Amino acid sequence: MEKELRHSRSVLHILGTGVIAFTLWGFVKTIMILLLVPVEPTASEPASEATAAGVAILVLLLLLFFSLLFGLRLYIGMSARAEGKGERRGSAYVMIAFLFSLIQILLFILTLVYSFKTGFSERTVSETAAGFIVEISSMVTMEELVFTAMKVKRLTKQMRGTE
Amino acid sequence: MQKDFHYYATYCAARIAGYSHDEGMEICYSAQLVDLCSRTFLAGLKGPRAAATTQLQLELMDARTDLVGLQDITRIWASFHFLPYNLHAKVNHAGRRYRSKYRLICRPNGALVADTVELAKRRGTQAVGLAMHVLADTWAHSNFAGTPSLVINNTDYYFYELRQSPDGETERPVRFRHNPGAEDDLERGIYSNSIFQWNENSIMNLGHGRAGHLPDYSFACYKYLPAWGGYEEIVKDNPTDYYRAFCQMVYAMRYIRGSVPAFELDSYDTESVAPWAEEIRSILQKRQLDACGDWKALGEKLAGCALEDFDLEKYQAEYRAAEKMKKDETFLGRFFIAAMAQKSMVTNAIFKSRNLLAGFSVDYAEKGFRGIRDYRKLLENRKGGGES
Repeated sequence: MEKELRHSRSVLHILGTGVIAFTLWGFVKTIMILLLVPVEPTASEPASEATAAGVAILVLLLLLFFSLLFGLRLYIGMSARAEGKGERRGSAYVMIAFLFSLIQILLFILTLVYSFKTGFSERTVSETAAGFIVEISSMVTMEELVFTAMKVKRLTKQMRGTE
Repeated sequence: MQKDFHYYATYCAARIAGYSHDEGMEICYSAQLVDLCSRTFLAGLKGPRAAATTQLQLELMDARTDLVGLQDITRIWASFHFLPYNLHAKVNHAGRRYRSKYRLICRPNGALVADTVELAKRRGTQAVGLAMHVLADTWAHSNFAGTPSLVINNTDYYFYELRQSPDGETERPVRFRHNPGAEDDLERGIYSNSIFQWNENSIMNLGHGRAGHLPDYSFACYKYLPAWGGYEEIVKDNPTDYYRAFCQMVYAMRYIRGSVPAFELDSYDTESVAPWAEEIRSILQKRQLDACGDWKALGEKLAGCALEDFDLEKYQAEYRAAEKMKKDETFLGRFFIAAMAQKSMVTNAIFKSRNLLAGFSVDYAEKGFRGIRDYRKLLENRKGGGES
């Protein structure tokens, strides 16, 4: 059982590192989209002060949202790494990771359905494929993390029970 | 192991085994020389390059890690510092490459240890010293292989030093850092090791580099997960292992002298060592980076006189001054012959086990001479009656 626990902890440590890596990649991707993707003006009327303020608030809210998202993912990754090294951690990060993985799966399915409905253009096929591969990898990592974390907690509890 | 064990402790073992003071000094000198006889050293003497028993850090930095380079590295390190335990070990669910490396893992009391001792039996004190170095290193360097391999020699963050305290046994995580210039900090548990390299055949993954100098400290007790172990924990108790190494050296040297009829594996002459057991154990358990002072003191007690410190240049003048045809009869000449014989024996054994990590080996006595010119010396030495 000790051997199995050490193995699971090692795997959890690696998965935690993977989640952090995907989080950092998501952060870089978001920044690059915000900075590089041109936003074409669509409004026919000149923007009023109220509209500008609304946009500013929206942007702020978006930033807060993304910060929360990345922050939570980093928390999951770092908690998994810490538990992988033998430190005691609560179950909060596991529950958050479980929610994340559910939302990820749901969003992935919706994106897939939308892509098939709207069709794939030549330019976006390779981009979409690459994006899918990264998304699937991120999903699998998060799910594996949940299962492995639960296994580590179960084995740790059993070990403590036998001591 | 370090100079404290290879030089001074080997002298003590030789005296307990019955060798005279002069013989003991020759034996311990040869044992320590194994850690210093590099190609650079041989080039300075114009000696045979094939007799190299070690590689300096600077040589390793320049060493190639292609197929030929790896074979060259493996020949040296597996022959003298990481003697393979079982060249026919069974490995489940492993490819040929992994199996070959797994079979080079060093442990004490392997068949090659007996062959090493047997090889030294009919040769001089230089061969005895060389054999004692190889034997002692099988205890210190257990569970590592003398070939660059990440999947065999790597360690990770699961590395704990075990210490006895009034409250019982405590574990302290070992902190590794790559700082060869700084001394290991025993108090804070900070040790130097080689840098982690993803490349399977990187020099950093040679031997026990990833565990730093811990295997060479006689006081160290630690547990870790070796890369080959499948998450099985290995507990290394150096004080006990080093004591067994000492007793086995005494036993081996008594056999070589003829006091014991046969050399059997897993046999230790604890009886002869008993009068000094307490003193030896206290030296082995003392937390210090270098135990030369303590071992030297014990050696001087056994000798009844002062022991000279190791001097690498001691026999060099004799070798340089000798005529070309007489060089093999000098002290260093005999050491070089012994080194080539040992390397030849181990490389041949590895090759015969269908493992090409040490390269090809030709039985020159049967098939005629081929290959490295330096090994002609072994053939001539054999014909000239250097060994019976």
